[in-house]
Amino acid sequence: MNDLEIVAGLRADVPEPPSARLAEGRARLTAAIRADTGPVTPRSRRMRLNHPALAIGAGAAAAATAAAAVVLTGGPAVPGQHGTAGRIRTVVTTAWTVREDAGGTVTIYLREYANPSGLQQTLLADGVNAIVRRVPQIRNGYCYYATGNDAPPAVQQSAVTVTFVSHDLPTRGAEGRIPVFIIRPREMPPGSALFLPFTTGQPVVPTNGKPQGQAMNGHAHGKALWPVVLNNDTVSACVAVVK
Amino acid sequence: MTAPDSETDAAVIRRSRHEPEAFALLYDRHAAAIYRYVARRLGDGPADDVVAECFLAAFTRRDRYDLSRADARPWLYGIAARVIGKHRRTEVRLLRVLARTGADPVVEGHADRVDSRVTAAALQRRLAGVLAGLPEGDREVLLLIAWADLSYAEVAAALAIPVGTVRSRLNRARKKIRAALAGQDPTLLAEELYT
Repeated sequence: MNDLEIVAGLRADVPEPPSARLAEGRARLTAAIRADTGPVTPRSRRMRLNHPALAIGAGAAAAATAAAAVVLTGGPAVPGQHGTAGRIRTVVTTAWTVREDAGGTVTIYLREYANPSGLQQTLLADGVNAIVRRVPQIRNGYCYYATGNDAPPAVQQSAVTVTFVSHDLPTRGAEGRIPVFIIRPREMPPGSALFLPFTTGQPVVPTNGKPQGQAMNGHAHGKALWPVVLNNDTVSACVAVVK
Repeated sequence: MTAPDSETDAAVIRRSRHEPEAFALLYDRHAAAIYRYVARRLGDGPADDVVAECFLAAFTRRDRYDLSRADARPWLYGIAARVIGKHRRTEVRLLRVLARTGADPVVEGHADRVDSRVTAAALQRRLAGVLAGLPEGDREVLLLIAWADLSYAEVAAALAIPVGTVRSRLNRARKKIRAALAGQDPTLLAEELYT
């Protein structure tokens, strides 16, 4: 018996699940498919991501208390963008909007730093291995994240684009310029993760073209609250810096 | 009209782009195997949610599926690998428990041997320790081959890496395993496995 066969024998006692369990899983999937492709219906007190099919761990509990979300599938190009073709899916909340286009690019329109767990679940569902986390508030200072686990600059540039737009998708939200994060999951190396720090729940107000807040991405002072591609899903604890 | 059972996975996926609920046929075909694979790696507890996340992620990405690939198993295992990767710490912790104590939380309750709680054979404990220490990419390749029965080409497709990389990662992992198991008497080895 060779080493590979020995590995194959480890935990070989674990069986396939009983049919009742498979049936439950199938029902979850079918329900989620119907929820995703049914008529657009605002859901009071529930987000799309609180659907049982996506009730995964503590994130689901947080998402359950979030504002209602509307899921749009197919349909015309979003306002201000022309020539888009193919299926477009959008999740719209009062705090942010996430749009996935047919090419797999995921665009985040960020109006408020709110509902980080919901945003994380939305991004995960769209194929972005995302970590959206609130950062601690530091009085008279900020919380500094070390850059040791950042992916190389070439990856940052190919996977993430930050821009601003002066109008928004059809939802209630702040007027004016808001940051837009364009994520290309295919440019993220296997095992990598997208870290998006969230500050408190104030509206995002760009100052000098950059959103400000108490979370500072350590790899470039002043690039506050940019999404960062990490080599893996380890986010180190931030260090309080008092000005 | 083609009967559902004779459709390839690719045909089911193509059909599901216009008839979304047809995608559930893919679940019927592959969920059991994917579930078992996930349960072997993470235990029973997270398996329901991980498998649900896998198939939902697959559903949302079906527009991008390469329809020239008739068999969707590599694609599904690739998605599963990504989801499992988010539970990496759980996986490593379970392997370390086995390595340290001889009791495998993943297997307990499933083994039908009377001695299921008896300390696992030394080689399995040593193997678990090696698996826990492997780089994630190497462990992924090794277990997709050993537990999911994927070929080198299928693993390459699943993980979107070259076949050469599959080979090198597998060789690296096997080298460490062989080193850890070195010195075991072959007869003793057989007794440990089949007692």
